[in-house]
Amino acid sequence: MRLSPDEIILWEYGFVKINATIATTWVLMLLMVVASRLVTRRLLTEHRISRWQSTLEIIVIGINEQIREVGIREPKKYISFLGTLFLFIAVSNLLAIVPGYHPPTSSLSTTAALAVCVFLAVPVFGILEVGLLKYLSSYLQPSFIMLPFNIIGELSRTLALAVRLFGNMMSGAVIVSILLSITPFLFPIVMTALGMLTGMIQAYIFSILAAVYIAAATR
Amino acid sequence: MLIDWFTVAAQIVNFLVLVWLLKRFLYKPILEAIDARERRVAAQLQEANTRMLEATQKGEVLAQKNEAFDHQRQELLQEAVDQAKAERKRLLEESRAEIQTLRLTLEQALRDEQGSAQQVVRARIQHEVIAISQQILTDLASQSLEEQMVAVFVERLKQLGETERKPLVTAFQSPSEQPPLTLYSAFELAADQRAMLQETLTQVLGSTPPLHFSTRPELLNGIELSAEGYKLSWNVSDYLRDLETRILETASEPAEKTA
Repeated sequence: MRLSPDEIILWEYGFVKINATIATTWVLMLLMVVASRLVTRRLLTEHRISRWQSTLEIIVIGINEQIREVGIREPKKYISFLGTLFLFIAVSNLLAIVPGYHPPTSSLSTTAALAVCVFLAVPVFGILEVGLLKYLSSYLQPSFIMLPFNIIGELSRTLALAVRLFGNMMSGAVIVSILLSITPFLFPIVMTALGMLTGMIQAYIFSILAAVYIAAATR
Repeated sequence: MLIDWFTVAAQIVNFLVLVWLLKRFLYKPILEAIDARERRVAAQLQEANTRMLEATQKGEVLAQKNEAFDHQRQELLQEAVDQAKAERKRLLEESRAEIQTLRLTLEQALRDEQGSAQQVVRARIQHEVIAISQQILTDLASQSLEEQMVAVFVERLKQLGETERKPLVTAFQSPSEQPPLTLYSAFELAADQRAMLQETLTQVLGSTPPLHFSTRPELLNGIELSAEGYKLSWNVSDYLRDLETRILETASEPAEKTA
């Protein structure tokens, strides 16, 4: 039994290997970019707009509002990063309904990569917003004794991000595959639906936590 | 090993590329479109507000104009009514004046008609009076009356004043083929009457004049002494002529005076 789509190797040349995770991610990227391009190719600024445009606007405005609610004053600066995080995880998880699909998020490599991105983005955004010294001084808050704990906290939360998403997605995929082998047809469907709900919640949790970290670093 | 570090690196790159692509194709255009629409809506709202303000102002201006127009109309109406009243008054006065003139003309015409009728009546009366008088005097005319007339005539000759006698004398003395003095009477005078007249004339003129006697029935009763450019008479015909002249004078007086 495979725990991760990383184990499905499609192409390999020495160190470089294309596995199912990377390939699926490319497909997802292509899907998202093409869909976005198709809708935003003819954007209207009139009162009446297309339904697809309206849907995308709802999504973008929703993300924007969520970021604002976290406490970030200028969400437009971070919507590219946080929005892509959410959309990528959500789309990746929702497509689990497709038979034979292995969500990239059920690979610890992918979740680790996303967690690393958040881990790196937080100081980058923090330094860009408040300056290097002020950002670094935040590690000494409330006192310098807290420095090691702050650093540990930084690392652990990154690990937690990666493992939480991976665990949830992997477990969902694994449960469905196990149940498919031992139970009637209906039950796995319910579990798949539950898995989609979990996937959406995980996408929300992941991006909201990232937003909270960034918000904490930029104030 | 659950983590494949090549895959991690590849996924990091993939994610960053996706961030860039979605920023390029999704967030930026969508947010710009939303902003543009918001700006557009704001501009339209602003324009609507401006137009509403303009409309309100125009409405106020229009209301003021309407009010002014109503006022003006009222004034014009009042003016027209006043003019009509004045015109009516003027026409009434004109009509009154015309009626007055017509009345006066009518009255005048009536008076004229009345006057002419009266005149006709007067002329008739006059004619009748003259005719009656003439008839009476014709009936009364006789030799004895003639005698009395001669006596009266003689008396008048005697009583002639200096101024009346002077033309008689001048006529008598003027050189002429005709006998200077002719004495007309209605009837043939008797010899004694002729002698009395001759004598009286001699006294008046201072010399005996060549006197010629002649009869003229139209004198009715009376005597007429006629010389060159001079006439002295006493007869009924003359009196009647005088009477007629006076009646005519009275009749031709203005009707108003008579009225």
